[in-house]
Amino acid sequence: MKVAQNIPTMSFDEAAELAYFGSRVLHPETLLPAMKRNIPVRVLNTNRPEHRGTVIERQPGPRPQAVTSIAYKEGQRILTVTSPRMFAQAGFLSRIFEAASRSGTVVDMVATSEISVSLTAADPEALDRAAENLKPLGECRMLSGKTILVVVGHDLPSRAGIGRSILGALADAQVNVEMISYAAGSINFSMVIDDADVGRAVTALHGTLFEHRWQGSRRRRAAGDRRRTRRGSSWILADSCWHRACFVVRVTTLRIGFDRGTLRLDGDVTSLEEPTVCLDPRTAFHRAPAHLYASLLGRARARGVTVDDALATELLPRPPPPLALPTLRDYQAQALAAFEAFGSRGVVVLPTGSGKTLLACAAMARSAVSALVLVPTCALLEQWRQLLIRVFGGTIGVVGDGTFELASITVITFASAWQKLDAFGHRFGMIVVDEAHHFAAGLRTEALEMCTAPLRLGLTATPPEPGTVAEARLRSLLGPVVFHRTAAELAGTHLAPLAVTRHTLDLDLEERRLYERDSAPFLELRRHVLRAQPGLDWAGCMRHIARMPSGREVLAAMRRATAIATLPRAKLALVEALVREHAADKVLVFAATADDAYRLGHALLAPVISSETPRLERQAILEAFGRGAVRALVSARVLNEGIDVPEASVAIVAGGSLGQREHVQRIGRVLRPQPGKQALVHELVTLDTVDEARDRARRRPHAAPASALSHPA
Amino acid sequence: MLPRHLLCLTQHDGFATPAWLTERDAVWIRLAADAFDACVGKAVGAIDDELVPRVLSLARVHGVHPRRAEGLVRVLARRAGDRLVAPVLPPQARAAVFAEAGRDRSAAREVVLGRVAAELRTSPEAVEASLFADRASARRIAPLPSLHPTDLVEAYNLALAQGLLLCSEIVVVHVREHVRAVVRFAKLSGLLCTYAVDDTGTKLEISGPLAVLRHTTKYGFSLARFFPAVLGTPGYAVEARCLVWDTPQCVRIDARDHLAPTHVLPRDADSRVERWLAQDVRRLERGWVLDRESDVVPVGRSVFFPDFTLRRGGASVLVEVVGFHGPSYLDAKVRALEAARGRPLIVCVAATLLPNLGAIPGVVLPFRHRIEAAALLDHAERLVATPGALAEQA
Repeated sequence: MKVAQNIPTMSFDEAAELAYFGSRVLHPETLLPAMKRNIPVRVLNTNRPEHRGTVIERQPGPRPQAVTSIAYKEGQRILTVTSPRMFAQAGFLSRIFEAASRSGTVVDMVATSEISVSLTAADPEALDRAAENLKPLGECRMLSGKTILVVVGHDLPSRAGIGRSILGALADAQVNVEMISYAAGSINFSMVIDDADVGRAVTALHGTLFEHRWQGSRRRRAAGDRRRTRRGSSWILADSCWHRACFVVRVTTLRIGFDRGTLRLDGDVTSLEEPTVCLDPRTAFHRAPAHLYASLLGRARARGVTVDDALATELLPRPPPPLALPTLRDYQAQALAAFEAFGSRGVVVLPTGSGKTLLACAAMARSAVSALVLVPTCALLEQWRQLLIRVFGGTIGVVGDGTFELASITVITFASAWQKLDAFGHRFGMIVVDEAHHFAAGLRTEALEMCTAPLRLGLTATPPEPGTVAEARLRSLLGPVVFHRTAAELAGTHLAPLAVTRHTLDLDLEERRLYERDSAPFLELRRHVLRAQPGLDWAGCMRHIARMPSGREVLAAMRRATAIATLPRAKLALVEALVREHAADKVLVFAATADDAYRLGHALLAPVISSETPRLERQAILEAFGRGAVRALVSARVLNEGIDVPEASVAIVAGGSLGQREHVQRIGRVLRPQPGKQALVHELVTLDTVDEARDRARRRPHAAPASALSHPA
Repeated sequence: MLPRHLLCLTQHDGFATPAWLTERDAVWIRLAADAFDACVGKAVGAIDDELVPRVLSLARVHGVHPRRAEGLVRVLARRAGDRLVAPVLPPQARAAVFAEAGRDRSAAREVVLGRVAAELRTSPEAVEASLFADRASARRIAPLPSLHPTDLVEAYNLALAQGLLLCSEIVVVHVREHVRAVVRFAKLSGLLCTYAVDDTGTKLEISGPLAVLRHTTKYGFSLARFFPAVLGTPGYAVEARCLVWDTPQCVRIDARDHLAPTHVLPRDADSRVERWLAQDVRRLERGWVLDRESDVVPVGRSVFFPDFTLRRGGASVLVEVVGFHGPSYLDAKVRALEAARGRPLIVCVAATLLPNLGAIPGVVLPFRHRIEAAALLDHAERLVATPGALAEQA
């Protein structure tokens, strides 16, 4: 089209319509996130970047022209079913569409009269099959080589004379229109013409609708117009069936429900083209993982499928507006904006103590939908509940730790979510996953898979490394990492400044002898295995050794050697000395294992928090630690993450077995900012043992907080 | 249930058979139990540190696979349990010690323990010993209840079977009786059941809702938990599709394996009338076998379990007993029986209820106090032998 004009603005609906009918600048699905959040999309020309392009937005400003664009789709076929039995018969149309659905026909356009139904589709084979199925209902006639020609615009039905302009222009161009679809409130005027007439038809319509050639010649052609109007009118009246019966553009329906932790799909699922949707022969309906709900819904709508969404009515009511919305720090506000820009689906990475929970509260308040907060431990369950009561007031539901109460905002432990979300995973519009990295390992991922919530916020300080299986898993369950700040970036401003002292120690003679004795068989066996299977990873090597005849005994001996190395007598003495040195501070002591933690607790006469500590006792211990009423607080893994211990300023890392991630979490325990606070970390390492190897592993160059630390030792 | 690393399997004809313990293992099982007895009173941690190495060396002598030996130790430990041994209640000791240590941070350890001991009127050693005595690994091993090696064999085998089913995706269960109870247990575990009826009974295919999408541990647990319900049914057979050590396996278990029922299934008869009927059919010795709740009839999207199925050779006749019940129950019963139309069906109806019932599908056999078994079998034989009888009853 030589005289094509730029369209400065159009609505999302118009853009989607055009995209479906061939204007493939933007795939309809790419617009969905922008439509959802009302973000204007500007389409520019690569070859003319200076040109203003077209802005696609929800409500474009006033436009003088009713018509936005013309599009067409060639190679269509028309199937007409004629039957005198159709007259005044209920259910005739439904039988026709059932037959079309059975044959896999995607119907693009429909027109009905009292005795016939015409429909178009692009897939000739499917339409042939449909014709076979429809033969019992009446005479079937097929016409091929047709084009659907669409005039897209806004407020078309309210513009008097638009139909006359379109049909008049086509009549002037000697183009015969064989079918028309123009529904109430529609944004398109669809017609079927011969393939051979497309060029003439588009040129004529463009001239009339955009170049206003008809306006310039109005007076000159007034007489002719009147004649044409009369003729057009009589044409329409003579074939009254046409304008009376034109309706929907595509006729496929999909019903989405929730069945025991999965999506239940009834109807036409083929158009979804989603490989994870599969037919369940046990129940004769299709199933899909529940976490794909939003994606499938969007895909169905983009393909013009009518969706009967049973889940929309089963959501828990909206939560009350927050009593006091937390004031966000600049990086928290940026994280929230990033999360929303990614369609409210993604993982926010912030160091421990930087206020991830407040960020989550703000996200929940802004989304204003029912929300489920998943937390790894019972300790965090209570901590979140208290915070949510402060922010939202009212009733906060709790599932876990012996309680089952559902509310608009509910907190649930990972374990309970794994067990129970198959029953109510469809009742929340948003999920917030605290310490989301737990799911990256692949354990209990069913909890997130059984949840339909379209909005998903993951919170963690230690995301899996990019490009790994773990990262891909988390991305599929929660979305990509949308915001990332390290402790290094926040230290000194939003986190307390930190200093790390590294203490290296040796085993005494007796310990060294025992260590060498118990570790030697393992080292020998491992060398043997690696010689036989070079490149075997650590886990594979351990599995291999465990299956060897003496493997389990060798591994047991190695466990004893490791226990010697992670907490030798020298370490125990040094921890005692450090606790005495920091008698005025609140000291956290981290051990490699629960056994080591209890040995330390025994030696220091300090409370231990482990998975065995009962809830009430744990609360009492944390409260006493907050008051400074205990010498120190000892833990192996439970205090690694999540639990709020704001007053701690000294951490003694006596041992660790979970590498860099654990180390980052532990250091985060003492980074919560306090006026004038200097956070201190003491790392204790036993030389020439497995403990030193573990120390090296957790101090790899990209260990996030290490770059922020000074190492005076 | 045994953890994955302790599972033991043997391969036969393309099927994996759990390596069961049998009576032939009694000798080394007794020795293992003796070794366990020697550890009674020690901390639970001694099981890993002392008992497992001892039993493993025993197993080597007797040619037993180490995984089976260690599995047995787990079963023994579970059977025995543990107990708390502490002079002072541990939470009380901890509260006192930590508070005292926090009050005087510079005080030596012995001084703190001495002060607390004085306060609690006990010795410092007792306070120290009690401090973390309630930890799982610090609790004391309890003595084994008096057990016959056969009990241990059955307990180990059940733990092994459940450990395998933990790795399963789909379990196919063949049952002759108590289908209703088995289905109910499966549904309680959140599992889906499909069924097929053949001459030998009902084949139930049981799996989790997510099974068509991927293998999940969640429904592996459900299948393992559900398994004891099958053990109570006579003549059962189970085939499970499992993923053991990343290798797909088809595991077969049946009623001949050394597994003892752990669940009490519903009684064989709901009433005296049904019990007498079962006795009378047996006494008549006409070759018919009366199976309880062994057949399934679809009713719309639900199913109906007739009370009995009479079987002889390849022939089967459904028998439903309608006793003394309310009107809504009777309506539902008639609707369910309608669904069985087209199959040989005899409905034994209490004579007092007959006037309240509308048209009943099938052959109706009224009774007063006792169902006449001979008449029932006559009807059954006529239904099976006469091709027109079915059409007639319909």
